[in-house]
Amino acid sequence: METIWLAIIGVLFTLFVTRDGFDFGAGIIYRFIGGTDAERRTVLNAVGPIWNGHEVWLITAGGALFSAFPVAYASTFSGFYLALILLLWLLMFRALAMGLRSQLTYPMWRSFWGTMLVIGSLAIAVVLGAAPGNLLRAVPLGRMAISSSRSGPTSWSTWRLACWTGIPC
Amino acid sequence: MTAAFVVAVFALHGANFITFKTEGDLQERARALARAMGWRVAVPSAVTAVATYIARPASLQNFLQFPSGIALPALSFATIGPVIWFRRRQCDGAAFAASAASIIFLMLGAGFTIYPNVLISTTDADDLAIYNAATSPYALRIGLGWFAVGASFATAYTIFMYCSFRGKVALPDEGEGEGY
Repeated sequence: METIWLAIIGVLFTLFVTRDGFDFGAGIIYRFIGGTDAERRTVLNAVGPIWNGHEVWLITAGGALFSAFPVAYASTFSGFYLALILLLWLLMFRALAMGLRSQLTYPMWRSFWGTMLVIGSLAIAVVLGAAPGNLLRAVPLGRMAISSSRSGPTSWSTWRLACWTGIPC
Repeated sequence: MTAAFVVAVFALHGANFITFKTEGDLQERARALARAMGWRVAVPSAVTAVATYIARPASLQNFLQFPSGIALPALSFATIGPVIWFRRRQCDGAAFAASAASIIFLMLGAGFTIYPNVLISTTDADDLAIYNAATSPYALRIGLGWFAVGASFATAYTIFMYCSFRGKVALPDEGEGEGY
C-alpha cells in the first residue's frame, strides 16, 4: 500500500512538471520569441487558459503527500520552508504578471509585467530544479545530522546559497 | 546545476508547446529556439547524471541491485534525440510529445534512485522511507478511495480544459475583457 501511494504521488508530481513545465518554459522564452505585442499576447493566450488548471496537480500532490506520508510532509515543509514560501510567492507573482499585463495598453506597463513574467517563470524553474538536486544529494534530517551540521541547528531551515544550485555544501 | 538543467528543459518544452499552438513568424522563432535548445538540454542532462553520482555515490545503489532500472535515465536521455529529430522535420506535436516523454522518464529515474526512501538523510539511520514515514494502513486504504474520487474530478476537469482550448491560438481583440 505504501508503494502504491508513493507511485500516486510520483504520478501527480510528474503530471505537474510535464504540464506546468511548458507554462514556465513559455514564460521564460516569451520575450525571445515574441517580437511584437500581438505575438507576446499570443504566447500568453496559448498558456493563459490552462496554466492554473495545471497547478491543481501540484496541490493534489501536496495533499496526497500529507495524507499518506505525514512525517515526510512535515519534514519537507519545515526543512524547505524558505524555498516553498518563495515558490508560493513566485507562483502568485507570475499569475499577477499574466493577469495584469494586458489590462492596460501603456507600453511601460506591459513591458514591466512582461519582464516580471520572465523573472517569475525563470525563478520558479530554478527553485523547482534545485529541489530534486537537494533531494538526491540527501538532506540533514534527524538530531545527529543537525547537530553535526557546519552552520548549527538552523541550517536545515535556512538554506545557504550554494545549496540552491545543487552544489554539495 | 540541476536548477540550470531544469531551466533548459522547461525552455525547450515551452518552445515545443508554442510551436504546436501558434502559426507564422512566432512559430518559426519558437522552432528556431527549440532547435537551438536541443543540445543545450542533452549535454547538461549527461553532466547532471554524473554530478549526482559524484555528490552521492550511493545514488547508484538501486541501479546496481536492479540493473534494468538504468533504462529509465537512459530513456530520458535517449528521448532528447527524437526531440531534435522531430524538430528538424517540423513535426511540432511529435517534438512536444518527445520532450514530455523525456521529462516523464527523468521523473521516473529520480523516483527509482531514491526508492524506497521519501527523503534521504545525510545520516543513514535517519532516512525517511515509505515504511517509517507512512500513516496507518487503515488511513492509507481509506485515503485511496477518497483519492480516486478527487482524482477523477481533477482528470475530468483537465480533459474538459484541453478540449475547450484545442487547436491553434486565436488572439482575442483588445478590450473584450477576456484573454491575456
